[in-house]
Amino acid sequence: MSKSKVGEDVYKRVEKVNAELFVLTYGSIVAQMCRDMSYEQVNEELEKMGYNIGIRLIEDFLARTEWQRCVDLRETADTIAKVGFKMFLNVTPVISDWSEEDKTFTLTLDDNPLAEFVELPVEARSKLWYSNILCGVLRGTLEMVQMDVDAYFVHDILRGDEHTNLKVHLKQILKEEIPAGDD
Amino acid sequence: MIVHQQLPMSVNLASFDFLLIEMVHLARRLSEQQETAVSNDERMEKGHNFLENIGFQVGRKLSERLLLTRNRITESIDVMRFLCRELWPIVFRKQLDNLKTNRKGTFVVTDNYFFWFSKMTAATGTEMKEYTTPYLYFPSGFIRGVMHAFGYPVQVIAQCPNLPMCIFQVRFPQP
Repeated sequence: MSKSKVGEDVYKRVEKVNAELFVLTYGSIVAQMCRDMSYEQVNEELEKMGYNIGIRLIEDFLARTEWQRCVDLRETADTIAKVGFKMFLNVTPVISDWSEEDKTFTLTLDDNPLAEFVELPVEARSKLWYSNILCGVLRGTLEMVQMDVDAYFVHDILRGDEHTNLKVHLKQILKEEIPAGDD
Repeated sequence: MIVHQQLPMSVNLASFDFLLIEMVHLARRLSEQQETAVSNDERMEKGHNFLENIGFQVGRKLSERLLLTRNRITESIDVMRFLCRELWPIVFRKQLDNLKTNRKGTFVVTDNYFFWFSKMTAATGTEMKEYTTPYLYFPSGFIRGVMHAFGYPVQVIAQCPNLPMCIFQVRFPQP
């Protein structure tokens, strides 16, 4: 079965919530954070939130898809886009821009469901990465499958860029830690 | 609800749950980050205000969005009914179970099975209060936001007498 088919099938089966409610809840959270702290801090806190979500989200992902281990980062990226994003956010980002050793790729999220209806105030445009929570989610999720990555936004439509691009860079594969006497 | 054509109509409910749970954790982190000079109560209050404000915004925006397609409601009792039957289920999955009023501007609404509490257990009274309190501010703010959208500056007091029940007292200003 193709990956996009799996993503769609799983998505059809899960309970759903109105996308507009999701968008405006996320928006209210970010807006409130911006009122209480600096934009740099908001980026950082959003990433942290995402990380905490990611380490739990992977369980849901594996339980619902019964996914097998991916052979390389290319397959992982494909899975993230076609199964992961599809099943949780109902969108499929485009993967492109592979680095030479296949360590870095770019996710293009032009219809970012978090950023619908959003307009950033001028002073936030150069500082705030509005959807930074997604970077945290990717980092947390991949850490749970032994991949140590850096994930960060490079472009955002909200900042006036042409596309919304998120870069993922694989730093290392973590060693599997098996408790003594448990193999 | 009208949804923009470009937008995917829905997202996974799990994503929404993850976001709300993490929001409560974030509020706790924020209140712990403050300087030690402030008292414990003040610190807690900051986290609680944070959640209350978010609830308020969500309630206000959601009501305004829904009001685009319907006639304006003015009577306080009708607004309360609208909250119980239509708005509450959008965010909290089910209708509010009970709506009572003393006819002097105070309403009491009860959710017998509040979904955030449905998977919680706690042993004693104080322990329960500690666990449930942070989760009460978002819904209280939500109610306040909805009422604000209808032009009523209300006060909301929330309490959890026992899990998974949740009671909100909504006080309307006296004319």
